Amino acid sequence: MDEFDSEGLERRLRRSVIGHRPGAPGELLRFIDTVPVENRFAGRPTLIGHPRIRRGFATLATAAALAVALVAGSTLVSMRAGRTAAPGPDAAGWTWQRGDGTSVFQIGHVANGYVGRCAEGLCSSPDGVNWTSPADPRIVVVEGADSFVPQDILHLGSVYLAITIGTAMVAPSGDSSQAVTATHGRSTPTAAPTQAPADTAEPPTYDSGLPADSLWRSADGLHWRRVDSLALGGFSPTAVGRIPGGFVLAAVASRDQPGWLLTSSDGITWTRSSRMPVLATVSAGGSSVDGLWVSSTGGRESGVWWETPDGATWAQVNLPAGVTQLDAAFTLRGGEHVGMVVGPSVSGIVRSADGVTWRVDRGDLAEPAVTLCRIGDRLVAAYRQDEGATSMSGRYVWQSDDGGVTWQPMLDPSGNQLVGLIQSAGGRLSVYSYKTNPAGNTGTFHLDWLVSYGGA
Amino acid sequence: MEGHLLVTGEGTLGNPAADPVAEYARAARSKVDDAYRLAGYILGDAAEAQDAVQDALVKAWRNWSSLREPDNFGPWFDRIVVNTCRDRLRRHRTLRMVDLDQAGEVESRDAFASMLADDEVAAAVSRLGPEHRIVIALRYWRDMTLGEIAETLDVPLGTVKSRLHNALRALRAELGGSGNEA
Repeated sequence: MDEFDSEGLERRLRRSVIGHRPGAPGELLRFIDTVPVENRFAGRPTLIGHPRIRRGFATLATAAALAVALVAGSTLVSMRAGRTAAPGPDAAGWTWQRGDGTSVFQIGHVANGYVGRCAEGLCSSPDGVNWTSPADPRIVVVEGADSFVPQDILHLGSVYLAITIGTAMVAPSGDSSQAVTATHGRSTPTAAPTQAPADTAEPPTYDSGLPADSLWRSADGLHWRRVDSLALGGFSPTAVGRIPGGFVLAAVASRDQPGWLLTSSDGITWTRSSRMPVLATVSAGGSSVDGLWVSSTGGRESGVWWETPDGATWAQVNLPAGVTQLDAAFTLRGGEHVGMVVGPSVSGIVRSADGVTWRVDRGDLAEPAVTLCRIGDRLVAAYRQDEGATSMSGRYVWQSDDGGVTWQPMLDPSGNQLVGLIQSAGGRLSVYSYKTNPAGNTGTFHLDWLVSYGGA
Repeated sequence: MEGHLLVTGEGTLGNPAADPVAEYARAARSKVDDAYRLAGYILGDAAEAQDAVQDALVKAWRNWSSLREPDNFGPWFDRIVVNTCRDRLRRHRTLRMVDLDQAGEVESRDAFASMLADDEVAAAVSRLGPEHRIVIALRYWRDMTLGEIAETLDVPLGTVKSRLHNALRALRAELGGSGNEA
C-alpha cells in the first residue's frame, strides 16, 4: 500500500481546492470589532480582580446606585431629564437603568459623576446614563497636556487613581537616567520623593514589547494629573489595584527583567513590595486575603504565579492543560476562588480551593463562558449559544447566586433573557448592543443598560 | 535631544503599543479570510469554520500582549486557528459526511461542504484523523512549505514529513488506491 503515486495524489489534492476559496463572511469581519470590547483587559497587562480590589469597586457602585435613574419592570416613572426609571430592584434583586445608546466604554466613577471613553475621547456623565463629549469640566479636569482616558478608576477616601493606556511611548535609545530627568525633569504637585527602588538596576528602556501606560492621580476626584515617573522610580506602570489601606501597582522596567509590585497608601509615595517572578510582558496581579496573582503570556514564561501570604515566595499556579492565563478570578465568601480561562483546548469557568490548583467547573452552565463578571455577590456569565454563535448580539447572559454552581437566565425588565455584550464597570454591569455601520463590514457598540445588584 | 523621547499621540512611532485595539483589528482583518478558509478546509463546514475563527480571534486578543512582533501575526494566528480546529475535531468527533446525492443542495449554502461533495479526494481527506487532515490542509490547500508547517504546528520538520507521509498513505487507503490521476 506504500507504492501509491504521490505526485498524482498531490496534484489531485491541489486541484480539489480550486473554486473553493470563499472569503470570510461579513459577520466574521464584524466579530473582530467585538473581541476587544468583550475582553477589554485581555490585550493589555491585566489586573486580575480579587476581593479587595472588587470591594473597592463595590464601594463605588454604592454611590453609583444612589446617583442613577432606575429602570425596571413595567412600572416606569418619568424622570426630570425625560428618562424613565423604576422605583427599585426587580424580583431578582437587579436594578436596571436604561442607557442612552452612546458608544461609551471603560466607564469609571469619579466624585461628581462618571467618565468613560467615547469615540471622540474622554466623555462624562452626571448619572451614567446621559453622556457628553468633550467631558464636562464639572466632572473631570485634566491638568497638563497629556491625554487622559482611564482604563479603570479606583479610589481610597478622596484619593483616586487610574491607569491610562496607549497614549505615551518612550523611544529605546540613549541613556535612561538622562532621559527620565530631561523628560520628566519638572516637579509636579503629585510627585513626591520616591521610596521606590533607588538602586534600580534596570534602566527604563522601553520598546514595542512594553506597555506604555501611565498612572494618574486625583486628590479630589475631579482634577487629574499624570504621576511623574520619578515617583515610580522610573518604572512603567501596567495595572493598579486596591489593597487594605492603600494601593498596589504592577510596574515594569524593561522587556528583559521581571516586574515589580509597588505599594502606596496615598498614591504619591510608592514603595517596592516584591519582585514578580515573570518577565515584563506581565499581566498584573491584584490583592486578596490570600495573596497576589500575576500572570504572563510571554513565551516560555507563560503562566500564572501566586504570591504566598508571607509575601516572600511565589508559587506557580496549576491551571488546566494548555491554559496560561487566568482571565478573571474572584474569591467567594467561603474562601473558594472562581475564575475564567481561555485556552487552546479548555475554556470557561474554573474553580480553586487554595488559589493554586484550578479545575474546570462551570456548574450547570451549558456552554463555556466567554465573559465572567461579579456584580455585588452575584456572578454573571455570558456565552455564545450555537444558533447565535455568529450573531453580534448572541451573547446570552446568565446569573448565579451560589458562586457559579447553578445558573439562571438573567432576565431584563421585559422578562426576556438578557442578550448582549457585558462588562463589569464600577461595580455595575454594562450591557451593549452592536449596531452595524452603513458599510456593513463594521459597527459600534452602544450602551443599552447599566445594571446594579442589591445595595451595590 | 535627550536620550529618550516621550511621545504622545496614537501611533506616532508606529508602535503597536500605541493602540492595541486598532492594531489587533488591523491584523485580524488582514488575516481573517485566510483563517476562515484554513478552518473551513480542516473542518469541512462553513458554520464550524466561522465558530472556530471566532474562538481563535478571542484567543488571539487574550494573548495579544505575548505577540512581540506584530509582523508575525500571520503565522502566530495560523497556529491558534489550527489548534482551535484540532480541538473542535477532537471534541465533536463527528465529521460532516456529505451525501453526494445532495451535493447540489449543499453547494448553494456551504462552500466547504460543496468542496467535499465535488471532489472525491477532498471528501476522503475529511474522513482522516485530525492531525492528517490538518497537515494536508496546510500543505496542499494552504500551500505552505514543510518548514512553515513545522512552525505553525510547533513540531520538528521531521515530524511534519512523517506526518504528511502517513497522511498521504492513509488518504490513499481511503481512496482505495484510486488516488492517481486518471
